[in-house]
Amino acid sequence: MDRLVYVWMAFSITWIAIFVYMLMLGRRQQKLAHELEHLRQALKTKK
Amino acid sequence: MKGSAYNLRGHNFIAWTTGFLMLASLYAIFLYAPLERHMLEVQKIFYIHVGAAWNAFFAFFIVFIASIIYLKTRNLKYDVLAAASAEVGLLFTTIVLLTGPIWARHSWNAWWTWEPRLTTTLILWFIYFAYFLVRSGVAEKARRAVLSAVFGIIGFLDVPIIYISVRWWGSHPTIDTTGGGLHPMMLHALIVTVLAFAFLYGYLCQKAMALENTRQELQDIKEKLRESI
Repeated sequence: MDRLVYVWMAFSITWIAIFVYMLMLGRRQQKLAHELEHLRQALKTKK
Repeated sequence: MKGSAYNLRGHNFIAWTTGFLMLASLYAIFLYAPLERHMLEVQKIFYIHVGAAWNAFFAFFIVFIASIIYLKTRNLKYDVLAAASAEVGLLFTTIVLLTGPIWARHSWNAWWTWEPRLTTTLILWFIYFAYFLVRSGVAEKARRAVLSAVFGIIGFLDVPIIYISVRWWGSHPTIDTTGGGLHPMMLHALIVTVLAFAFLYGYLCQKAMALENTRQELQDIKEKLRESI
């Protein structure tokens, strides 16, 4: 295999891993915002 | 409010510095640092591999310290810090374990060998993966924090073993340093990459901590609401 293919593979994997993790953090944030909104609505109807 | 604006400014500063350092490290690796005489371009993997490895060890060191402080003070903010740091450390260890075999394939003509450093690093990955299994398996907050603190402290014992494994058993690929140490330009590129990963660690850790805090606050509110009904 060409030497540059190894370099390309290693750098791509690194960036993909970082972006996937950031995407996961974003998803978690969205989920929490959704839960918070749910809670707000529940409190409003309770009042 | 003032505090949160300050935090946001600090977070933005870390985000921009991380972005800048990531670009600077790419420049240093590909355009500034010279080619190593034996591995040629493949040696470029060394910078991200080592940068991620050192910062993974740093992340687990923070888990170790935060876990000790938690057990002493029972302050949950140290449990949150430990969990966030372990998460980023696990990400960096994953990067180390994925880039290592690519480098090894060129150096040893094999993707994986049960060489001491690789094996102990894989064990480290499993230890911190188990750390999250423990966290997700215990619902009660205080019990979960104590169990994960103990796990975080014991798990860190693998880090010095990884570090000295090369001295004890040797065989991990190293850079040709004949003529006295790493070439200064390679050393500069390595420093910039390690710094870039250190800022990335800070950025991701802050984000993970903020999320964990919000999640715990939400859980508290839900529990209080349930009790009031």
